[in-house]
Amino acid sequence: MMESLHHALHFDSLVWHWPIAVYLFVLGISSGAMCLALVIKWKLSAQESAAKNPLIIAAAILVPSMVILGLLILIVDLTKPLDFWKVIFYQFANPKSVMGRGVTLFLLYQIATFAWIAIVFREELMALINRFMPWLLKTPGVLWLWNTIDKIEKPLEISIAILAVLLGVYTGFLLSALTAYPLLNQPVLPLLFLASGLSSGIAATIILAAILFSAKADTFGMALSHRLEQPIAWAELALLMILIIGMNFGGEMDKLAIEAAFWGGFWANLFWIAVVGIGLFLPLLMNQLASVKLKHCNTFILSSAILTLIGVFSLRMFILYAGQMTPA
Amino acid sequence: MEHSRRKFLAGLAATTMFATVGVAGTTVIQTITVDGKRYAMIHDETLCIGCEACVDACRETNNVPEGVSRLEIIRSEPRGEFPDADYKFFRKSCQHCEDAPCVNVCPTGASFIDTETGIVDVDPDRCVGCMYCIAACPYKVRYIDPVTKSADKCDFCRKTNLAKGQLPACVQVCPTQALIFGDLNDPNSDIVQTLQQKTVYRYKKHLGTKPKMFRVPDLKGEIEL
Repeated sequence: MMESLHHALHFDSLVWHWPIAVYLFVLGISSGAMCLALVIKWKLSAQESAAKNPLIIAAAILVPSMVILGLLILIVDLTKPLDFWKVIFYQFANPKSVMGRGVTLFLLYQIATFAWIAIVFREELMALINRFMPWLLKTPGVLWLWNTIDKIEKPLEISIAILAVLLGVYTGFLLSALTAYPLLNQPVLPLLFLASGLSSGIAATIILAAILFSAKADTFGMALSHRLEQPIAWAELALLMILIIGMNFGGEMDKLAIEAAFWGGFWANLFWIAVVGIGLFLPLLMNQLASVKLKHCNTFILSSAILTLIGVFSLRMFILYAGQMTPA
Repeated sequence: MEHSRRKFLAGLAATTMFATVGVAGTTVIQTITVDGKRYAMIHDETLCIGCEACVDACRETNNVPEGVSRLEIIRSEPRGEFPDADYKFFRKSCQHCEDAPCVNVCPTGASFIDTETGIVDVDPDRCVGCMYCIAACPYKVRYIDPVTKSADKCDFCRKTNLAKGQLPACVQVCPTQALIFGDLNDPNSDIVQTLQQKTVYRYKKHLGTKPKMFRVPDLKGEIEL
């Protein structure tokens, strides 16, 4: 058992290890949480304050922190972590690089999401600044800047929605750009990662909102979140089936890669048990079978969300490792 | 009048097409032209005896640290029955692709194709060590240099022997002349002459990387890629 685990985690063609899977996982959460927060905010009636909604608060915490965490993981994983600034400085040296465009995307996304947080939580932030850093508001330009972004709220939100979707697909393109591995070099990967990123973003937002900001089943946005979860899970299943069937129509190496990844061995077990079983089927089944009363119980909501997170993280690990098992 | 002009145009198009095909047919390897030279290599597997003198010469000339290597000679399983058994040898090293995946993915431009020589090289100062190029290379010839912490690999001795006007170390030292190095843009070079005389194959050519490492297959049978 230990030996098979050792073989599953260490093999010759393996270049990128588990930190990259964590990186892809947290970026997906950020992208998904941002999309969810925007949808909830757009559905809120004019009288309700977005800043008071537990789900929007949870998402506003997850969105920037998950990107920062992801970038920290990426930097620590470099062989020269102190040279990380060169990725920002030379990001346009190779316009074709997916990773280079990712860096551009992170910068825009981080600035845009911070601006969005500043306008959604304007009152709360004002109160905090008045208490701890009153000099900041007297600094020339700060209030002017704040008022200016206030005026462009709608276009800002549409831009953020586009950036969040781009971040979701970026996690897939980063791997699908690798022609050296048939299972990774698949056009469906960005869509699959976008869908699973949405799932994990919704799940993580629900967990954080329920634990820290006492979100309940009747909190505005909770029903909406659940309505979104199911079609996304079905879409993930469909995309996984398209990947397997499509690669079976492919060349010799595609078929070999599919066989090694999905049939027999540690990663195949992880895929069928954790990704499909725990992450997709179990939550779908629970929602079909549970009574309305049970569905409103917080334990039920939390356990369904945790199962989804386990499934999405397993998918990231599976694609990263099983993908690198078979070189082209 | 109208009719004959159309005929003339059709004839012209056909002639052009024929000429293009004709040129492409005779110079299979002259695919694109970079500013200056387009260095390439032939590994003649029928001449290679697997002595690995090339591996040692490379390490010494380019100061390659222990634990990593720019060049490996991979020995096959023994073929035939003793005493008529022998091995096939395969050179594992950078193919200096014209459409290099490592260069395409590099986020900082540290991986580049030198326009004067067509050699794929790495700027160690620009490299941050994200290992995207190592993952992207279908030939798995890149490594992280344990001293500089940058990605590195064979550069056809661009910064050592070639800079001094000498052949790459592996070519110089090969006792059976199994390695031929030269400029694909020079029709009189040894490499172009050899390519016109011998049957060659290129590893994983179907990936569209346009590798510039040509191999003369050893003995009969199907070439395994």
